[in-house]
Amino acid sequence: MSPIIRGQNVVKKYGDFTAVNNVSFDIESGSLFGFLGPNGAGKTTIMKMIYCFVTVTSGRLTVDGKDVMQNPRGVKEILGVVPQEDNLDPDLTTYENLLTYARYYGIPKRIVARRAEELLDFVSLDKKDDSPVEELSGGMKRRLTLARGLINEPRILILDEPTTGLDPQARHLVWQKMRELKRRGITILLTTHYMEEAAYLCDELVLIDHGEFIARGNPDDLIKELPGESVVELHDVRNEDKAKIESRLNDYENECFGDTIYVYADSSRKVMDNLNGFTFARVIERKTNLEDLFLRLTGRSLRD
Amino acid sequence: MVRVWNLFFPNVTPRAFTVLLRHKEVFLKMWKTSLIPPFLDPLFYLVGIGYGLGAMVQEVGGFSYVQFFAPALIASVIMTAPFFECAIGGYVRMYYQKTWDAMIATPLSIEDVITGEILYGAMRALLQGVSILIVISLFGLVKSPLALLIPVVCVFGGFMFGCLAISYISWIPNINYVDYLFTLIMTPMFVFAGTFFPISRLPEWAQTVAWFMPLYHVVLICRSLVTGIIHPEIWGSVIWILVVGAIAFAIALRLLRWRVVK
Ligand SMILES: Nc1ncnc2c1ncn2[C@@H]1O[C@H](COP(=O)(O)OP(=O)(O)OP(=O)(O)O)[C@@H](O)[C@H]1O
Ligand SMILES: [Mg+2]
Repeated sequence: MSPIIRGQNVVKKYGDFTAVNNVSFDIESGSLFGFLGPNGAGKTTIMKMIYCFVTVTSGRLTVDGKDVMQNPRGVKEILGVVPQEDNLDPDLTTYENLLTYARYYGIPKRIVARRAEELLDFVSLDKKDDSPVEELSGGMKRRLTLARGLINEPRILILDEPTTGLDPQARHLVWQKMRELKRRGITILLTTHYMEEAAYLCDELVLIDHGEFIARGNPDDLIKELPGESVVELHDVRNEDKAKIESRLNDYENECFGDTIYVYADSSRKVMDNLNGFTFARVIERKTNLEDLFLRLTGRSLRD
Repeated sequence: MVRVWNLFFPNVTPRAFTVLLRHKEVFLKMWKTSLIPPFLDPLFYLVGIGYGLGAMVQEVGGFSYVQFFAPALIASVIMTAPFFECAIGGYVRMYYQKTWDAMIATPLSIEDVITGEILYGAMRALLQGVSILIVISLFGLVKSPLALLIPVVCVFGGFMFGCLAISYISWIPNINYVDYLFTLIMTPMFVFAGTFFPISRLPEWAQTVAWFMPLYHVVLICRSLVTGIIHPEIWGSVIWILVVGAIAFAIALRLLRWRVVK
């Protein structure tokens, strides 16, 4: 199968600042592809280049064989976009937002009315169709934006943090919808800061930092790159004890962050055997996950 | 033909009308606030200045003052309607509401969106210009059937002013700068472009400046059509508006692409 989106040495500069630095990627048709990375990593910028919202500074980016710089109209025709910032039309109602948007795609009116109703149903907003957008809650707006992104029956759906700010019910709803869309053969590009969401949904993902890819692959495979299958978390470690504890854990990979020590080990009992004499407010033993990998590769310090 | 069009007005397609339709729908929801105040405004001017002040003024170029002044009111809304719509409405949709961002994620180009905004400005000019035409005709101030051509002037004049206003917002850093458009460009034109008094009252150099004011030419045409007394320079003014309109349109498209697409 050939890739439906292909980036070759893609660079994006805003003035002198390089937001995306020479990345190449292939996204298979029908797959769910994730872009992860800290704030400011360049995820949104990559998506914006794909939907022709910002220019590509150098390199080549094609969607379904069409170059985003040469044929933006052709590219945008087959895309649905849920941007990171909601930009619903605040002067219109929920239903009108869909109708008006459909018109920009040139979709015939008689098709639109039915499709708009189905989509409002799909995102469980059918009872809100007459509400002005301003009266919708944040999560409802997000769902309406998703419905709007589907109005042209896109072959590729771009979701930039679609679940940020959603309550658990709405998030699960969006997850279900994403899997349903994937079953219909739609290629989905997803960014998210929720690692369990990425691990749960993505066929393949890239981890981005400072505009470069620092890891890529299937989430399960990526997690296997960690030094162990489980992590033991030691909470509330006092500063003066840190060095002593770490010296006793030489046999294990470990990291310290703030008042917590993370030890890659299969059993907390073995770890605790090495730590006789210390007490901890809490000891947690759990499986390693994508978040561990994320933090390990991008560092635990906060981004600006 | 298509290639020449694309050279001057790249990426503009009939899809621009879908943007115009969106504006029409929003307008119909709020027509009470968007139509009535701008309609009352010139009515006050007509009565207050045209009849009130005009009663103390001798004839101007063979017309009673109110007859001289009334057609200029049409011209003035051909300027103010698109200025308000494209500058304030445009800035709000570009910057605050991100309406344009949503539009250009669809097959619409930024040029389609801008064209739709300018066309909407022209439609607002048409609506308000025609309303005033009706009002002044009720006052018996329309003297010639040529006034039936006023809607055409509204559309072309409004388009030109829309291009100017939209170009202006492409380089301002925040919405407060719109005030400068109004005080430094719109108000001087409103006062000096042959609206309240003929530009022959101005010193020579200021008459030259007035000739470069778009409103001067719109006033000249409106006055000719409403009174039926055709100014000898009318064809020059028609060409002036068409040429400046086309140039301003070409510039607007480029400036807004530069502003919006990073
Ligand atoms: N229009 C712009 N002009 C200048 N710099 C920009 C612009 N847009 C983004 N940037 C910069 O490019 C970098 C990447 O931004 P981007 O929005 O792609 O990050 P992101 O990975 O989506 O972050 P987040 O998780 O916070 O959404 C950031 O450093 C940002 O400041
Ligand atoms: Mg982002």
